Amino acid sequence: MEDFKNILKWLNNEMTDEELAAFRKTDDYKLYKNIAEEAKNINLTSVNETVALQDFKSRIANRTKKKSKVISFGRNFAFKIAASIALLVGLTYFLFNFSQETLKADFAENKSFVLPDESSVTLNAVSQITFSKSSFKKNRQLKLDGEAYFSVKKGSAFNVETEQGNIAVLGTEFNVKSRENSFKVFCYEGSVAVSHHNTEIILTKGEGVQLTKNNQLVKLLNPKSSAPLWLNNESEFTEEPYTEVLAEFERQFKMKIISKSVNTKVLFTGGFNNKDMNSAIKSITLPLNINYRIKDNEIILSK
Amino acid sequence: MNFTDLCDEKQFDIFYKQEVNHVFRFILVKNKNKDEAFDIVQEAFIKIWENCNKFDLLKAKSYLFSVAKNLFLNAKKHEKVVRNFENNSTNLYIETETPESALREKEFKHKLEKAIGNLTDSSREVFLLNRIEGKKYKEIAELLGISLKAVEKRMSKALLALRTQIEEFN
Repeated sequence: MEDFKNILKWLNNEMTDEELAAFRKTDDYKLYKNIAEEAKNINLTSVNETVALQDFKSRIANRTKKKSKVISFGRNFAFKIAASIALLVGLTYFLFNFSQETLKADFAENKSFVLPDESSVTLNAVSQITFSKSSFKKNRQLKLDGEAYFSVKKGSAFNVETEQGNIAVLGTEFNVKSRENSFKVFCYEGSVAVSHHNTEIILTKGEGVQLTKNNQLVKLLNPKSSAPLWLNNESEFTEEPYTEVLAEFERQFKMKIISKSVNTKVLFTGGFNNKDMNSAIKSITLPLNINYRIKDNEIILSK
Repeated sequence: MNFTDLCDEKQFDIFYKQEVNHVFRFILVKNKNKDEAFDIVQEAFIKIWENCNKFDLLKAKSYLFSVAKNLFLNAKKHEKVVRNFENNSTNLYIETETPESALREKEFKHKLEKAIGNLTDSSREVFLLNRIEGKKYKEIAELLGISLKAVEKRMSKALLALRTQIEEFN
């Protein structure tokens, strides 16, 4: 297939004046000038906005009428029974409709689930999502506490609510980490809108955001990564508070870390393996010159 | 124009009039039947009206387009569109008049129209969104939920097919 690069550039109005001047001399230009110009005048039907709006209003009116048809009940006994049954059925439907489903991963495990809309989610250790079982297909909305990687099936808006902010997408792959001391969203495919208080940031493939200590969203860039490292049992941190690193370690190995005698306010960049505790504890203590002692389910850190 | 509340009928009407032809053409280039396209557009606006407080107003436009797109895909899946369109008044559609121009030009235009009609649905859609609606490839990619590369590929395919066909006519 021949090279359409220049023609594409021209049709997208991306050419500089010089490029355009040069392009005007080519055979391609002579060939495509008519096609491009004439195509603009193709007779595409449009609608009369006023007539269309009237039609819209009458459709809305019809719809409301259908919904609010009132049937008056007589005062006899049979109707009372019918009404009670209707109430009961309604109540069950109400309860069913609002039944919440919770999916969770415990200490030291990752778990994958398929959601009712066929999107999939993988939960990192000590994380959970909650959503309404019956209405999820229609209204794709869920709450996340912890960290999860989503692969969203294309369709209507898909919303993830967390303590620190909301994420809205159409169809895409992304990771959300929402922990006590950390909020991080990274987009691996498609695009994602992250809102936190009054700011909103749109992320596309290879971009992420992280909440800093002074409550600012900063952008992260990593065009090469195609999935979060924790899916391959690695935990990674970029300038994150040491407390969060220790908390993640506790979640991955179900251990308690006593850190009273070290400074946990420093920012840490690095990572650890989620399956090998001995090497993991080294990776997070040696760089900071911290000593550790393992005792049953506790690790004691010291300077 | 920035909207502050689409549940407000006045603002909604302005929004409607401002966007109706854009969505209509967006669906029309996918599907040549204008009655079906118009039905889809009206359904999409009904969804917007019914959910007027449930989405981010800054994204009202892209929400409208994605609702319309999904309705179109659903209708296509079931091979039927619920037809409740009874407005047969002749003043709904505005057919753009053919300009009185040289015969050769008319001929060329006719050829081009035919050639565009012969394009595959996916490349015609991209080509017309760029030419008629004046959309950039990036906007088209976002609108259709496909990659920029895919848009460029479909566009190239359209250009190649158009040229071959128009040369054949000559």
